Amino acid sequence: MKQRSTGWLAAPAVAYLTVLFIGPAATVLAYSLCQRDVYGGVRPALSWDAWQMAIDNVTLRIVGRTLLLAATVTLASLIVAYPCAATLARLPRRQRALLVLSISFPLVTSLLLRTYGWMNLLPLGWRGTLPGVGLVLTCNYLPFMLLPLVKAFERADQTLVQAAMDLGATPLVAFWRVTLPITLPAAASGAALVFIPVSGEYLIPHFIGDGKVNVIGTLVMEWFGHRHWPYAAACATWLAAIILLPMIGSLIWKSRAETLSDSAR
Amino acid sequence: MVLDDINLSVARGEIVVIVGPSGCGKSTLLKIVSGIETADRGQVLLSGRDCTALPAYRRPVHTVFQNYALFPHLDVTANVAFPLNVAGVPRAAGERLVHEALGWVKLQAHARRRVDSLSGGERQRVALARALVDSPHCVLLDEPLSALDPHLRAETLELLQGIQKRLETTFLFITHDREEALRLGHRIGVLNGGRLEQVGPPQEMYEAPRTAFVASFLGKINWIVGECVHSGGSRVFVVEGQSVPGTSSNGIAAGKVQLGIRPEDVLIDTDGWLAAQVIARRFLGNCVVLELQLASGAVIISDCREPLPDALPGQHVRIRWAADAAHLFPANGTIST
Repeated sequence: MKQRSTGWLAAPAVAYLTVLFIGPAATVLAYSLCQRDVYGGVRPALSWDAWQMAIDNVTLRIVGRTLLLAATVTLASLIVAYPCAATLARLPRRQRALLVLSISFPLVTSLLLRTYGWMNLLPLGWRGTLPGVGLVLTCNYLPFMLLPLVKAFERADQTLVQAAMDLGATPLVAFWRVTLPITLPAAASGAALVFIPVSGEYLIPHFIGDGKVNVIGTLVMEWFGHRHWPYAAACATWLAAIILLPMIGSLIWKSRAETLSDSAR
Repeated sequence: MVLDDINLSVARGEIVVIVGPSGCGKSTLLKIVSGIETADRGQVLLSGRDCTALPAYRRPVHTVFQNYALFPHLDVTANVAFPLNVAGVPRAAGERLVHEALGWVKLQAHARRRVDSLSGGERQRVALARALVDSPHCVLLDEPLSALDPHLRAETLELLQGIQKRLETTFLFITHDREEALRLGHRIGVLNGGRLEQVGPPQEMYEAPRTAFVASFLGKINWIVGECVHSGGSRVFVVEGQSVPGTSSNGIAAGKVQLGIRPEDVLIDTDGWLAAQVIARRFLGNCVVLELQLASGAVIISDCREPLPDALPGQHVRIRWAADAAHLFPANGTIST
């Protein structure tokens, strides 16, 4: 029997992505290459002005700060979440489910509410500082790191560690050769889940940063407000490039690694 | 207390099978030997060396786990090479040993496969190769066949026996399956409620069980309640109002006793001691299984080698057994069948 093609099932997704993602993204890119209109909006004339602004020192410093902030938040949540996930995975099933639920619970409350909460919790000295913003971002995005790690630690269960020790591995070697390699892919996907949204985050830097912490997200918002759409669009493109390039790189690397291991078989 | 008063020694190159119902402490015993768990009291000696205080990774024993516990991120070769790698065996020597071990379990063709692409039986063999690759003093096998289907189980059992014979590795094997135990063990130990009830060669265990539990665990058995009467220096056993012969009654006290008679030892004979009525008959090809009801209402099973065309349901027959076929125990112990 001939197998029927199921490719058409992807049509809605493709249409959706074209209309609602690629279209707007192309528009943003096009705006960044247009001239500024005095009353907001753009004039349809090619101009490099916005990009010249977008690669000046001020903008690049903000881009750098954003990257540093996102990387620090990712690292911090990894450091907090890794041992936490290891402990959680050892708990009895019921307790673990309850704790994982309570960890993900903040995700169902409004981000705005949580951020206002943090504004009250944070000592005054921390408001408007980069570390303060980093702390709130870390707490906010921790579940995205924790949940994949808990799953991975469940896979790297205690019997595997016992087996490793039974076969002669000291606890440290067992961790190095068994637990770490099994949990590493989850740490990587957790890192992506934290890094990508944090580098585009607007709300938390805005409220916790008190207007004193400039990242790309706040920059884009600000310049759309200041009616320099081409510059704001150029900054948004920066952001997209920062997020997309590592992702594309990792995809290529992954598919190459897979073909390698396939051909080794 | 999970285990109590365990005294077991396993000779070099021997297969000792510990068998018992689930929850009897088998796994705990194995974990104490491997070092994953520690006993509150007592000693573990391996090749004469006291290993009680040694952590698992310093003991020269490896375990084949029930769920195999293969490392999912490593391929077959890397799994088998694991104990060599952590011990720092040079690469070339290690590769040779791994190749050899994969040969024992007939897995050379799958050397580079991912373990999650293997079938249950193949995973089992990877686990076995991994436990044998660096020739440990003793290999502990924790119900290694229980997850396999019956056909594969018999095949793997033979493979195990073949490898063990060739390498002369010491095996401590635990299972809840009495047939596995009888087939594989040079000696069997029956564990019940944390106590080793008896240790010995399979045939001796089957033919001369020391406790009612051992008797009923190692094979089907009929229990008949009776009485032991001391009359004039000799002992007489009375069941169903009849006195019957009984040996192996070493030191059994007067009073209620239970006689265990295996189905294959129940003989239909016109000169039999007890009257019984056939209530069901099943023909199984190599034997006829009869369900017999005694006068007291007790039902016993008989596996007859002869066709016995007359023993039809409703018929009255008489039964007996060879004098040494009755296993006698005091009746105060719990009878489990």
